[in-house]
Amino acid sequence: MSTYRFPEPWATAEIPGPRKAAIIPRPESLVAILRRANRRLLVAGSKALDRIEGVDTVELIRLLHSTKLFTIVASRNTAYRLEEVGIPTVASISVYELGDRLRDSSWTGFDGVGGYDLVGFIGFPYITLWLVLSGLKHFAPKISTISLDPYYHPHAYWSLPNVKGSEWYSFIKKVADSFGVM
Amino acid sequence: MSRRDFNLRIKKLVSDIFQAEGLEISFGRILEEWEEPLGPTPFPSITDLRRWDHILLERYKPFYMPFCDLCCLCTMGKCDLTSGKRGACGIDMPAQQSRIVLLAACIGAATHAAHARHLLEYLVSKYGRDHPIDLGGNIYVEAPIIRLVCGIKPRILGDLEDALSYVEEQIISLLAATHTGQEDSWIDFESKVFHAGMLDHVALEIADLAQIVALGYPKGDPEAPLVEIGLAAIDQSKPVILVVGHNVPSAASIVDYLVRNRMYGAVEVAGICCTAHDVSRYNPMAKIVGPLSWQLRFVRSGLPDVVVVDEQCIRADILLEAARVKAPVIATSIEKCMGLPDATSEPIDSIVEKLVSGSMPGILFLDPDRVGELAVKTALKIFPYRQKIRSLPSDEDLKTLASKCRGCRFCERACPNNLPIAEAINAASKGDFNALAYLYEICIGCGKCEETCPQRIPVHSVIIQGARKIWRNERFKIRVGRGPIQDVEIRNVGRPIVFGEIPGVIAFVGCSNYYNGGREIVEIAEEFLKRNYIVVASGCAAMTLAMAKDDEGRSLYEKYTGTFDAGGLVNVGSCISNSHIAGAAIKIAAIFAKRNLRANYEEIADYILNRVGAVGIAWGAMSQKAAAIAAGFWRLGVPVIVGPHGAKYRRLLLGRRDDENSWYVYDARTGDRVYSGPAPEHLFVAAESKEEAIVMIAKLCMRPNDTSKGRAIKLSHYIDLSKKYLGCLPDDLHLYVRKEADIPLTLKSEVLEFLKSKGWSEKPIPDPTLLPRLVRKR
Ligand code: SF4
Ligand code: SF4
Ligand code: SF4
Repeated sequence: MSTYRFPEPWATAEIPGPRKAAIIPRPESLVAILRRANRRLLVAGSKALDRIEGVDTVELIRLLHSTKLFTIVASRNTAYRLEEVGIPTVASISVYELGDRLRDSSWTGFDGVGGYDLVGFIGFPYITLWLVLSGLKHFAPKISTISLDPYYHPHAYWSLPNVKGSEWYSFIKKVADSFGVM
Repeated sequence: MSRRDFNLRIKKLVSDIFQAEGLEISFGRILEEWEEPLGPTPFPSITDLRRWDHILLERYKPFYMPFCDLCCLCTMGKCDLTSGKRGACGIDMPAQQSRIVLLAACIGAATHAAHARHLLEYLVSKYGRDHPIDLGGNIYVEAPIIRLVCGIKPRILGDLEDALSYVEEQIISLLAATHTGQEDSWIDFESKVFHAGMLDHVALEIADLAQIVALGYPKGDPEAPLVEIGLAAIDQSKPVILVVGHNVPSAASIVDYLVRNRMYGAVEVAGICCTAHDVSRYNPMAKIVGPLSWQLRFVRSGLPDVVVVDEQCIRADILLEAARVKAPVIATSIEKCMGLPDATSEPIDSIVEKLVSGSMPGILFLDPDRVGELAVKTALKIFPYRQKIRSLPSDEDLKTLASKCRGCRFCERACPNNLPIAEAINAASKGDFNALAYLYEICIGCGKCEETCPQRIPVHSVIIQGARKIWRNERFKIRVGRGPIQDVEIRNVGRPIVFGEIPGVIAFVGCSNYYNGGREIVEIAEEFLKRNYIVVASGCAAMTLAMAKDDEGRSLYEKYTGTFDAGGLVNVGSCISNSHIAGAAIKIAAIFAKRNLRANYEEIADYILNRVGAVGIAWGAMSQKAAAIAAGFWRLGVPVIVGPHGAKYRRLLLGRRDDENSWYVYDARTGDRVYSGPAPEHLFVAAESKEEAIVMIAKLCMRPNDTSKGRAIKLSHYIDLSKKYLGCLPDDLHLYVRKEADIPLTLKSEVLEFLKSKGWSEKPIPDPTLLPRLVRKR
């Protein structure tokens, strides 16, 4: 694939404008980003139960959950299935409703304590996440959004590049390992 | 001077000079009195309903998801509007986004208004201005939208012209508001979007009403005939005329010519998109190929001998595609001239010669009454020469083509549904076409994959040919569009709908830009049909609902009655027939609740929002017309759910169930502000999945006015569907239970336990309104 490692949207025509996501080049970079954040939310999307690029996405969510860094929420059709396999979610919510809350600076989060400064997304149809990230880029400028799907998402603050499934898996695995997950 | 000002001034003049009470003059026409008094907003100007719009928009705030960070609408741009920046003209991103939404809604409304104008002029010229608007003995409220918005009661075709002139004038003002340096506030742009939507509904009603009464379509007949739909329904042994588009006169002229010359049966008339709906309403011998996404696959099959296009949603490359299969194109609308020479004044036989010989790939022909002769003569003459045309690749060709694939996946990156094309092509190169058949079910026929393929593989054709076993058997039944809902049906269901005992009215509308195939909406519709909701449908969605069979080989239209009643599946017709869906909601307020309808928009919309559990599902909406139709429903208080692609309309109108203050209404009996729960929670929302949509539909059918009995029925479905599709009790259940009596009996202990965990307590059930002026106690 010619676009690996280049900031080129996976969907060729989805070119946004002047401000584009920075690529997270290495797992260590993501580890550093995660460590810097205070309140991290992980959002599992409507495709999180599918294999994406040949990878069992639920397995990656499990790895991210094991880091104990994240509060996890999931799309409506996904949340209960994650619960069933032992990944607790604090809410099952439409990603659009979530976006609408995240852009509200007075929203106090799912625990009533406060908003989130870092939100990671995984397991989404490309078009859905592309749009929601656009909404957040424009209207929730204080939140660092990260696309953890194996596709470059220009509207995120940080994004993985377009990567093969095997690279995606080992990237997330290395991140999880650095937080001591076995 | 606004139209309303004009109206009031003349009213005074009339009473001074003529001392005639109750007569009003508007635009020089007499607004005739009938049993209803004139309400506050006849022919409303852009700002007359602004207060109502703002009430809605304060509760349902837009969540903008810009498609582009830039604005490039004037030469001071491009302007970067990211991170709160303003453009050179001072506009900010929310205003810019709502401005683009307004542009889309204006395009949609203008398209329907122009459609109505062409149709009305044609029908008036043919049947006369005085042709009566008579929908038969079961329909007295013949034009609920026109009565509601304009305050007039059209009796003859000519009366529709007043309403149409009003729509046209207003659309021009709305469009003007999008110019640089005009409107600059998101909330007023959005209010104007609502206005465009309301105008759009007036145009829809004008167009459909005119064609129903003039062309003799079914007039609200629940037993309108069943016709065939699907590629296999087309008889390949006969010449085939394909009609594509939305405006029926040309297609009707083909039918007339065949009937007049006793040739019906010798030639197939097959339609795609709304012209197909309308020609089957005109003559049920016409056949329907499928929704708009079927254009490429049907033309490429080589079956059409002649392609007759009118207007709207027709592929911009249809001339090119038809030329590849040597099928001439006849363009019949001033809206779509396609660069073709105008042959309207030439003798028919000489045009036929040119088309059959191939010296012209197509012509523009602007005389609807003679299109029939031209199309039929051309089809009959060209048919023998086209017998050997086989446009789709053979199995062997397929394997050879597929083996050229180098696995770059550019096709997938262009595909709107991100389909796994490369894998399927790879399997096809080895002779396994199963994966192609899977793609066929989800492919929307856009052809973007081919445009991008560096190996020039005709990917879409490969998919279609690989799935031939499926489409060669695609033959279903659809009930033709019945048009309006009868007054007597409204009388029967008004009470159970308003009290919540019929749990909801669900309208499947819009185009066929599905993210995950059309099968999903069949599943969604059947889930609610089985639960005794009223299901209505129009446009491409109505076609998709026909295109699946149960174990006994029946489509939904064969399984469920066409009555507007619990468990009925009502195909109202084409896109312009959406007016009857809005009309039914309005008629519930007017006929059942006896609210004054005439020029009384705000009150009726408030009634519908708070009492009529109706929801629109535009699962594959793609067009600007669909945006305008949806906007008309928003202003009327009917929420709309779109599928994943629908979020590309750039913004949703979302309520916040976690914000208690959003959900207070007035109790019209006491004037008290009462918490009514988030019902309906959203006005415009995209669902991420079929499962989420199903549960969302059940939720959005709840209304503050539901009686406890009605709410219990609605909650039982909401809970059951949530458990079935989302694996849990709804987490917002406590917001929808007002009294213990609202709880479905069979679920009482489980629900009470949940309510306890949420600290729930009983709340009053209001006589709900958002309009202080409707409070009766003073
Ligand atoms: S209309 Fe305004 S924002 Fe758009 S290009 Fe012109 S100056 Fe810039
Ligand atoms: S034609 Fe079908 S497969 Fe090709 S890009 Fe469009 S939807 Fe995808
Ligand atoms: S774009 Fe063409 S060559 Fe590339 S994977 Fe798709 S079909 Fe194969």
